[in-house]
Amino acid sequence: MYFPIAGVYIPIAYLVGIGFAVGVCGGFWGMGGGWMVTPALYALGVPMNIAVGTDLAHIVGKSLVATFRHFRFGNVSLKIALMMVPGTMIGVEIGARIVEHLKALGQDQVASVISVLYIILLGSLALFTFVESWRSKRILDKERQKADALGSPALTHRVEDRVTADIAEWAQKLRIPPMVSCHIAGIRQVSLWIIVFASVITGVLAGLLGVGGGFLRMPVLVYILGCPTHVAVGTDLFEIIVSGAYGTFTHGLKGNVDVVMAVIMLLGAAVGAQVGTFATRYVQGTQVRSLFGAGILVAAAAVIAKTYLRMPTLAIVLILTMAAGMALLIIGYLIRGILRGVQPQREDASQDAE
Amino acid sequence: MAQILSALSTWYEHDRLLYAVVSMAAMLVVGTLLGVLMDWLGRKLGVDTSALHHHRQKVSR
Repeated sequence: MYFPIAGVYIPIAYLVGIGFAVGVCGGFWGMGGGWMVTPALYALGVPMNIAVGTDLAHIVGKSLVATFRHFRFGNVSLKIALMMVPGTMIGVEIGARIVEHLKALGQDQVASVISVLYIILLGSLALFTFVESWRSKRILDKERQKADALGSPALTHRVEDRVTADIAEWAQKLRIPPMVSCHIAGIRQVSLWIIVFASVITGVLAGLLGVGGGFLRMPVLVYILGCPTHVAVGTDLFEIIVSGAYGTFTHGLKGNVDVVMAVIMLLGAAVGAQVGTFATRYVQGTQVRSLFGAGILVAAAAVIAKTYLRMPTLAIVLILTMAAGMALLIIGYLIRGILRGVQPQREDASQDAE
Repeated sequence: MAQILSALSTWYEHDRLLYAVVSMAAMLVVGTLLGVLMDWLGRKLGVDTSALHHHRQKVSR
């Protein structure tokens, strides 16, 4: 099919396939996946500015589809998401202005600062996620053995919440009014300023890096605010709808959106997002976070290949291979969970609570 | 389909504000419709076991 705005011929099946693979990863990790779609479109000959804008447009629709499902699973904290939206917007604007300032200093300054920031951020996030997930898994395995002995399957869920909340506990001890609580996210009391601060910081980084920021907000929700991983995923997706809609509008004004291409990708992404979201019901939060760590580590390697090794093709291959591999792995988790008759995670907990 | 593509191309060339609004609205509408469709399909196929459902049951008791 010919796309006059982007000026390229692309098979529809290819676009649906990209949407599906990224939809699976996005539904599983709670992010838009812009860092996967943009290189894929760019590899097909779509100009970079249109690839970025079109990707953002398709992310809005995909996040809506995934959020419906997460909402039914009780994974969306509207309260936290709505409190984070203004901070994110302000942060994105600050980040965009820093980029403009760097541009005034020279194009090389922008490229070097952003690529170094990208590598440091992705690398440290991956390392932190791996270490934390490994530590949590060890504690969980011990607790699971105890739980098996006591015949209490829901014990592991409470333990998981506890081991991911070290930093969150410290953050929740800061009593700076006004204090807010959130039943869905399991937050008894946290200062509104902590939420605002977290949203502004992730917004600044998103604006600086030119991304939606899902891969930044998800760990912030888990490690700083203390949300359970599944709630962090759903809440993050809801916030992406708001920030992505705003991004689609501004990119549309600049002529960077091919809306037909975005809708076609959305058809694949809608199904993929369901698969990814369902898969979160059959895995532990530590598995979600471990795969997330692996994914962003590959993204960091791709940035190094593109910026320092001057091998853009290798960067695209790395990202696309990772997206396809992760999608297959997540589908595998889902099939394994269904075949083994594993009970969905949160349902166990709610039944136990009853 | 050809008419839609033609209208979009015209707006893209001559009225960027309208094009931006239509693009954003299209993604929100299509996303919502697909979300509702997938949700309905999930319930029809009996794969929806939401925590919300359990919460409602608990409250009704």
